[in-house]
This record gives sequence, C-alpha cells and structure tokens, in this order.
Amino acid sequence: MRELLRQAEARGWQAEVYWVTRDRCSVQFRLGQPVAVLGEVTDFCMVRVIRKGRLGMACGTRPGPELIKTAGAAAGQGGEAGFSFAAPTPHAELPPPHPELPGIGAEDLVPLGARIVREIAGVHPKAPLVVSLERTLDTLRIAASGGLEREARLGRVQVSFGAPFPGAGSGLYKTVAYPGPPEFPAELVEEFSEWYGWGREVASPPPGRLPVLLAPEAAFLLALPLAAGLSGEALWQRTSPLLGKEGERILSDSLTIWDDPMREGDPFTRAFDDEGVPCHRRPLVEAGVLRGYLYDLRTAALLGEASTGNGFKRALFGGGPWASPNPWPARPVIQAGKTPWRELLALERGLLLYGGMGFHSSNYLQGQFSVQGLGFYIEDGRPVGRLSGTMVAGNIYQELAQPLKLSRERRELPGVVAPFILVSALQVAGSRG
Amino acid sequence: MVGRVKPLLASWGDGYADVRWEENRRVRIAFQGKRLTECKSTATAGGHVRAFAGGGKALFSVSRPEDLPEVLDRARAAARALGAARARPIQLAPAAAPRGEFPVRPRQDPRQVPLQDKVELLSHYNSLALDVPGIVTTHAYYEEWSSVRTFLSSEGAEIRYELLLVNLGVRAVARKGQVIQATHIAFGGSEDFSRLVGREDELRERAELAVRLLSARPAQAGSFPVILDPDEAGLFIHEAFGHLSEADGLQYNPSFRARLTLGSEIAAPALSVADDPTLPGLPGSYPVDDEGMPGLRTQLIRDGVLTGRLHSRETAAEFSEPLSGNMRAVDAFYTPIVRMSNIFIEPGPHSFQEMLAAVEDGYYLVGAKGGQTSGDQFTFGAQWGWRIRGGRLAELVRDINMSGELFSTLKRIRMVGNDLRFSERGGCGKGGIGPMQLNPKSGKGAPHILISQVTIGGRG
Repeated sequence: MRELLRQAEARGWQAEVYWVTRDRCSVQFRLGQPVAVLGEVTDFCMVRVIRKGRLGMACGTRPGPELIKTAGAAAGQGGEAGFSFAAPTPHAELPPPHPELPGIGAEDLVPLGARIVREIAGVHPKAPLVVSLERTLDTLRIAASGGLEREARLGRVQVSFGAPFPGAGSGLYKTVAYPGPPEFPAELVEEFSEWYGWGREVASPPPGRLPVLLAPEAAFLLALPLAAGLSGEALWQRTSPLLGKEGERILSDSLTIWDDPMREGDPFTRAFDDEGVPCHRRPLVEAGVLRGYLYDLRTAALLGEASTGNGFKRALFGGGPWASPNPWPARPVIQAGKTPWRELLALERGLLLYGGMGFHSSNYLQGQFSVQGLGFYIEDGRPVGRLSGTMVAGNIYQELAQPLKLSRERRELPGVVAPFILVSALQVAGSRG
Repeated sequence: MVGRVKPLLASWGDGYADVRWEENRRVRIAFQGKRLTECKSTATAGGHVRAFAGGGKALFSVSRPEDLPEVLDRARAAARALGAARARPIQLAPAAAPRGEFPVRPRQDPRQVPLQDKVELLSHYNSLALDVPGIVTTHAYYEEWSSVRTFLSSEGAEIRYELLLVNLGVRAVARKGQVIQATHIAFGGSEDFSRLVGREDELRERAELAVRLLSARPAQAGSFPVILDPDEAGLFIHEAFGHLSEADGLQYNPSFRARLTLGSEIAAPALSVADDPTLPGLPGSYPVDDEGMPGLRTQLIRDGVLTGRLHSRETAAEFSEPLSGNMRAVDAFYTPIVRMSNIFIEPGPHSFQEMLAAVEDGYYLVGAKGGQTSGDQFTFGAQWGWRIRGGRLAELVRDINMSGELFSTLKRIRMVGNDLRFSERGGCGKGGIGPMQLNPKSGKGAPHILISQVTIGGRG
C-alpha cells in the first residue's frame, strides 16, 4: 500500500488506499435441515486520489498501480474534494478478535444450528424453521498520504433464526451476534417460541391512534430517521429537520442515545472509521436534547467542522466496501429504562411491533414512517394474534417527542442496541378501516 | 482461468460443479446539489464455485483465480459433509450443457463514451433540475455496469456472456419551511447510452412536480379503491406477486407452497402476468442465467389462474416443473438465487378514463417509490397521487404508502388498462441463501390497473 501511495505522491497527488480481505463461512438451515455451506475469501480495494484539488476514485480486487492511474483519471473529471485524507492521529486500542474466531467453520456451526432447530421444534414441531449462522473475519487496512496507516481485524459470529407463521409468508425472526465462539442463545430461543405462539391467528386492530410497544428489532424506526437527520450530508444540503437544533430538545426526555463503538464485548466495536479517523464514544441525544451530528471528512470540511469519525461505507441501501464513505453512526446505543418489558406490554389495547415493511418508501429524512407493521395486537394486556395488512404511521419528532417508557432489558442487534420503547399513540390503519 | 479449471471439472466425479468467472466494470458519477461528489471507476474480477456432492451443496466466492482449484476441493468436501447431515439429497433438474458466446450489441455502447461526456451530460440534467424555482437540492447519478462472465460446468458447459446496463437519474428536492418533498426520474435501463439523451422536458416537469407537492395534502389513512399508474402497477406485481413466483422462496414454506399450486385461481380473471428476459432493451433482459440456462418467457398467471413459476435447476427438480432460466447473481461475490427478469401485467381492454369513471372516492397513485414484501404481505410507496372524487381527479396528494395481503388484493383487481408500459429503471433487493443482493437487472411493466380496496397508511 505504501508503494501505491508513493506512486501517487510522485505525481503530486494525495491518495488513500482502503483494502479489506474478507474471510467468511456460513451455514444455512431450511425446514430444519442444513441446505448449504457458503464460503468467501475475497479482497476489495478502493483508492481515492486528490489531484489538483479534485477527487477521483477507483475500485478493484487488488491494490495495484492501475487503481492509482484510474483514480487519477477520474480525478481529472472529478469534483472539488475540499478535504484532505486523515492524519495519523492516535486512536484507542481495542482488543484483538477472539483467538478462536478464525478457526470457526461449518463443523462448528452445523451442530449449533441443529440444536436451535431441535429446541424450537420441541415447542413448534410444524414451524418451517430458517436458521443462518455466519462467521465473518475482515482484515481492514487503510493508508493515506501524510503517514496514515491503520489495520484492524473485525469479526463476529451472527446467528439468526425464525419461521414464517402458519399459512403465511410473513414471520418472526431473531438475531444475535457474538464476538467469539457462539453459544446456544437460550433466552432468545425461549422468547421466539413464546412469540411465535402468539402469531398463530391473525388479529385486526381497530383503526385510529393506539399505543405501540416497539421491540428492540423495531428500533430502526427511530434509529434510521435519526441517523439520516444527523448526517452532515443532510445538514450541508439543508434538508435535515435537525439543522441548527443542537442543544434543543428534539425527542422525548426519556431518550438518551450514544454513538458508542468502544463497548466492551460488543461484536461491532470499531477503533477508527472507514477513512481511518478515530471513533469516539459520544452522545447524540441526551435526555431528548440534540448533542451532536455525524460527519465524515468530506461533509466536515464542507461545514467547517472536524470529522467525528463517522465516515462509513454504510447506507440504507447499497453500502459495502465499494461504496464511498458517508456519515453514519458507528454504533448507536439507546439507553435502557427501568421497567420490565412485560409490564410495558400490559396494554388495554395496543400493538407490539418487531418490524415494519416499506420503511424506505417513507419520507424518513423528515422523521416520518409509514410501514406495514410486523407484530401483534394486544388486548387486555395479552397478545391476541399477529398483524396482517396493518399500516402504522408516525413521525419520530412528534410521537417520539412525547413521554415514552423504556424497558430495562436491552438487545444488542447488528444495527442498534435498543430497549423496548412504549409510544403512547401511533396512527393505525388496516383491513377493518 | 479456463485452462486451470476445465480439467478439474471434467474429472469431478459424483454430483455436479460449476465455476463462474467474472470481469466486472462500473462507472458511477454523482452530484449532490451543485457539487460533483463522486467520479468512480470500478474494475473487479472474481469467481464463484458451486459444488453439489454427496447430497449436499457448498458455494464459495474468491477474488484470485489461483485459489479456484483449492476452493473446488474445499467446496466438494463441505458439500459432502453437509449432505451427510441431510435426510434427503439435493438434486438438480437435467439440462443440456450450453456452449457458445452471447455478446451484447448496443446501439450506442456506453463503454465507448468518454468519461468527460458522461460527466457533462449528468451536469446538464442536474443544472436543469436545480434551475427549477423551489428546488433546493438534487441527487443526480450516472451508473454504468458491465459484466463479462465465463461459465464452466462438470457437465461440459462452456459459455461466455456479457451483461450491460446504463442508468441516469435525478432526485429533485423542494422545501418550504419544514416541509420537504422529492420526486425522482430515471432514464436508461438498457444497454443503450443514446436513451439518456434529449430527456430535458420530462426531467423539468418531474422537478416542478416536487415543488407542487409542497402544498399537496398528505394521504388519508384508510381503505380505498385505487388506480395504479403503469410504474406503480409494475412495482405492485413485482413486489406483491413476483417474489412469490420465485420458487426458492416457496421451497421451504410448505403451507404457502400448498396455496400456490399451479392451476389454482389466485387472481381476478382480468389479470394475466408473464416474466420475460428475452424482451430486448429492458433492465431485466439477458440471454442466459448464471447456471447457464437460456432465459425463457414464463406465463405466471393467465386469466387469474396460476400457470407457471420461476426456477433454478434445483427448484425445478424439487417442484417437478419446467426450467425457466431465472437463476442469477449480482456478481461473483454472491451465489445465484431465483429472480424475476422483466415481470409485467399483460394489457387488458380498459382505458384510463373508464377506470376513473368507476371510482367514486379513492386515489390515483403514480410513480414507484420502493416496496417490500414478506410472503403474502406487501407494502410500497407512491411518489405522488391524486384523490379521486366522483369519477374525477381532485386534489394532489403526497406521503403515500399502501399495504395489503396478496391473495385478497389479487382478487380485487377490477380493471386492467390497455396501455402497457415498461419502466426504464428497475432493480430489486432480495436475500435468500446468503446476504441481500441488490440487482439492477430487474425490469417491470404494466398498464393502469384498478384495485377495489387497498389500505393506505397516513396521518389519519
């Protein structure tokens, strides 16, 4: 990588090389049987060049001199960069991946998958079970003109399982991730078995405004619009509803949300972002008050700020090593409350949501969501059936700015760490209405 | 690559194996507002190995051709180990081993157009949108994607085929106070660069609509009759029904599979649906799929009766149904899965005016804005719409999402228009065995359709 940078610098260009080697193994179960082993050993490399102040990019599967040349040619037609690549500032050291992680293969994952199938089939023998177990280990290297050199090994085992409901295509799915060898997810399997039983029948809630308990899996309805609104990109384009609101209350005072990529034992820790800028633990929303935005190098420079270490190759759609970095939270963590979630479920009438379809076609940058709810209708404090064709709509800056109740339990999901959140009322429409 | 892999495949022994090697190129240019933010060229190479042995299956991706021999061995061992843990062996439908070359022949090849011309064209369209009074920002993009694929199998298949797609799109954003509205328009969706040129009037009109939407009313929540325009109806048939015609989704859901037996009356008699990769110049057109099978037209619904399904060799064997050539991967880093090509509703007898006259109180919804399904449940958005009152278009509406249950909605299709139109931009996201794949080579089309009842989500 140094040699590539030297080639760029010899032409008077600044350059950055991002190179990831992915080693992945997964096992898939369907209808309780293993159906495929998937493996991947791949490289992906992206070079960014700033030539006479203009930015160009090139991607390939190997860090070779042709990438510098192609990126330089693209920079000849490119737009004004407006920023410099990251400087070699120190970053926090995170522990290396679990020593056993690289050796975890199909022979380890198949027995765990079989046990999950066995345990759930003991309760729901006819459930058409889907189980996915995946071990990932990425070696990420970033180097840039100016002396930046970063390397990290990022890995985890992710276990997902679930099943469509009887006679339906929609279903219930649970996910858990481990930083090292996976354990049998007993608590989650038990929860799945109970919830799956709630969904045997379809229940139709009455149309109108109803209280809604968002399970941690539905916290994306809050986390994604918030991430979009906090993004330096939306601030620079002046399309964010959070523009100029730092220090103002934007959400319920029950909500405190950190960006915390340094959590001990978290399988999604990061010491630096995809531009090599150190990550930090910092508040985004504190007791409902907006405390900070998200910047990558480019948007920080445009707005006269410093990068917050949030330049990631992630997006609602189309992220990945081939994507350009853009502002994205490193690890959003919603602070837990004090109430057991089962107490929050004790609603006279309401919904328990664990997902929502069609989120991306809502005007989510403005905080709006209008989704087909995946979840259960609650009556007299107990779930009476699963939702089918029920639309749930709201705006996080309105309904989630009202008093909320948060559970003391919290779940560490790939996209967010979140408790259950009870919203006093959201608009519900369905086949009854 | 061919010389290294062919002898290994020829001596494969029991089961089956194939190798797909790809040389892929992408160009992406993007503006955010006035600023050119992305000018990127991508050239990747990679291979995908599928091994069926001992009744099991293993699928590996690599980026170095020298790794292929070792990966073939590893895949065979993994497939055998998996097969030993299965009650029933995985089987493939028999097929002739294809040989030959399938190049693309575009009228104007985007790969031959200089990068500078592409930047200038996009800049021109972006400036037109930004010049519309009330537009505060834009996201404009040019995307060119090409793939040269070599496919070899243990059955003696040896083919080389090309895929090529070019798109240009502009999202125009209007703002008044705290209200923000956006509209999107896309050109291209084929191999031909010349389709991107001379589209100024359409672009300007779409950007002006974003400004008009600022003063439109949000949709009212409830159940209503709706007319869908061809773009929205195409999205509906893709999302609501199309994914259920992909046999790999049904394969592992017994109760759902039982509901979708061929010959069942699943829709109103007005509805006929087909999938066709052989139609020229559409996003989802291709000569062969990624297991070497020729792409074929499949009649999925005729006069409301389920008549066909989309298959891989594995699902065709499982369902004892004909091969269709729908097994496709985005690139070598993904395994092929069953995917629609160009799905469309066949035209019916009705004019748009006849449909409008049949609605007393409902909505006319226009412009696809993304959708999602989970089996029989679907939801999707519209870029804009009109309220229909007394058989006439009334006020403009915005912020529209609709949802429903597939089977009841298919039965509620009352009228099908005579104005079939294919959308220029396609694309589809689907998971399956392996991670989500966003495939740009997926097309959709429809005439206007009238559905008697759909749930609209909104503010009440």
